[in-house]
Amino acid sequence: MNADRDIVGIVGSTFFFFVGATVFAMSFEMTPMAAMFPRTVGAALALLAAFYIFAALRGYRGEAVENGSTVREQAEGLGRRIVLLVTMIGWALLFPVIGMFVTSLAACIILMFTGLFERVSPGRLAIQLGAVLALVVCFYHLMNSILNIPMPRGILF
Amino acid sequence: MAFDLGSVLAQALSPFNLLLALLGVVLGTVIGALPGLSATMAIAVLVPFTFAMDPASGLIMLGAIYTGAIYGGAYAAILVNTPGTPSAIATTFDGFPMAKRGDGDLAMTLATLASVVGGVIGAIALMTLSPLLANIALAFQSSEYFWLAILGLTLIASLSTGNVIKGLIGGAFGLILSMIGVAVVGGDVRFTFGSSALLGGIDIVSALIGLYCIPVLIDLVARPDRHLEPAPLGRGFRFFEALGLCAKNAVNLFRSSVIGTLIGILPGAGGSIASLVSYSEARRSSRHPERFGKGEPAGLLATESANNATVGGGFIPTLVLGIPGTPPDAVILGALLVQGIRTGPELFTQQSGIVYIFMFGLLIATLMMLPVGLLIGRYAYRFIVNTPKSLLVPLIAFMTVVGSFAIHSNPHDVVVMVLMGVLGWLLSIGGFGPSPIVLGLVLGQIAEQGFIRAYMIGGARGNFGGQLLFDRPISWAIVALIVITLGLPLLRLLRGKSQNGKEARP
Repeated sequence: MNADRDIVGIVGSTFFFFVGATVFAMSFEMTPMAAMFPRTVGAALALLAAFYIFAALRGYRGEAVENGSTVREQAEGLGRRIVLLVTMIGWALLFPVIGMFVTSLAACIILMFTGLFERVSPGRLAIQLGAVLALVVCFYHLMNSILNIPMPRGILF
Repeated sequence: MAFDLGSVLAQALSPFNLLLALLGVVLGTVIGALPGLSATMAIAVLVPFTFAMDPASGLIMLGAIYTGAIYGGAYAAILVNTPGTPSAIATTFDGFPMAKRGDGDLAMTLATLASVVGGVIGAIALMTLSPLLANIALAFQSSEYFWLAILGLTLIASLSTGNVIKGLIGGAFGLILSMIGVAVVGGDVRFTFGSSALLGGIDIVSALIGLYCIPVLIDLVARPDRHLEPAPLGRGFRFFEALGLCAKNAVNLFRSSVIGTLIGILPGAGGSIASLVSYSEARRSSRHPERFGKGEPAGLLATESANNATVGGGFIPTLVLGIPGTPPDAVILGALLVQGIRTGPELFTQQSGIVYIFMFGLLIATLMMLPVGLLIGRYAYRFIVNTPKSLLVPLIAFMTVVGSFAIHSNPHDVVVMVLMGVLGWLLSIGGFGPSPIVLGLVLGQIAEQGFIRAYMIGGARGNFGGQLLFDRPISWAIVALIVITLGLPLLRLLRGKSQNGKEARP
């Protein structure tokens, strides 16, 4: 296969083809009114994705105004990217159970270290940790006490 | 006018009311700048404080918070590429690229100027044309809403220059996401896969935060280079440069403000459609449409003037008809009722004093946005540029989590935000940008609701299928706009090709 072909675009379009086909198939279980839009849009999505796969296999490759990073660019700092994603997913799943304050503080400290690229002195590190603590305390207070948005307290806090 | 202008101005310009307007603009700007904290929330939280004030002062403060919050949405869009509210989606298209290349100071000043221009035009329309324009809100029916949503969706074509198919795929995927939950007409439960958390559908703001912000965070931690290029020292606000750009784009500014006012009048349409339609129009009429999406000031001016013009426009049906144009208008309508003010056509005759004090207050608050916005904008840009990534990453991440939780105090919204972010990141690697997906998600419900209702009403009248969609002059006008929006770039492309062909021939 030609190396210039939009392989990730083909992979993405294959995903969209299956989404469109699934939506189209599921629309037959709905009432006629509720099925009208899903059936039309599902079919359109599957057809567009199939068309793109066909065009990309024949060498078509366009550039969108909003460019995503390439696979090669995304490989840079992949470890840090994965740490961030895992932290965010863990944060989202755990804060209702453990509590917003504790999970946020833990997640922010992990993310602080993930965003550190150079060696820092213990004093500077202490200042940054203090800043992260202040950030969490301030936002928590803003949400909980000033804007009256009840933050989940969970098992800890 | 059946009121004493001198007395109204004296009350609107009283030191206490001016102070309230200033406080409202500052609070609104700060709250609007935080992703997830919307104008509706800012107003809802501060409404109880206004009950102790006299009605006019309370309303001035609420109007100032509203206009400040809509403007504040531009901060996160320009500096962090995250539209805190749907009305700031289009601001990211050119605002963030400008900030990334070191023109963040200019972008902030342009956003401030455009917001003030849009806000002033909206407020003037509110003061002078309210009863007349309110009729437009009544003239719009289901079929017009459907076509308006389709007009918004045509922006996908201009956002995806060079790869329209990927843009259309993204838009269709966004439309499917908008169908998750209980169907808007008929009540079928669709695509929830048995999860009760998805019954309410995917929250637009959570999806927005996830799709735009998580990929930014992922890129932030991957490389040691700066998030935004710093502006060279000594350039100040770049006020006169921005003023010059505004003068060059005077037609664009005026057109976008009028579009914002008119769309703001339509209940449920709101700032997102207004800013998208005006962006599309600005791009279509530009001599350099290829610059849009790469940091073109005209794009930023169009979106920011349009979304702030919706503030004044939204108040027109609220005050004249008692129909809130946007969610913040609904909260303000509630505050009006608590204060004993009955909205409706009689409001302008029986309680005209309070109404006009409020309108002048809104105008004054909009003008106050200029100094306040320039100051806050300058320091916000400097703060983001100078904050090390080790602090910027947790700060943005925390704002995304608490912001998406704060929308409905629902942990599921945070999970949706993160999942949409991961999906957006993976799709961006394949060249599928977030904007078409978001457009589909924002406009999907409006389009489906409008289409199905028009279809059913048409059916009840004995029309065939979707005849009602083409039955009315306003629908024809919007369809004509859609044809122009889609047809002109195609015509330009064909003309360019034929000219290239002629030049190539000896």
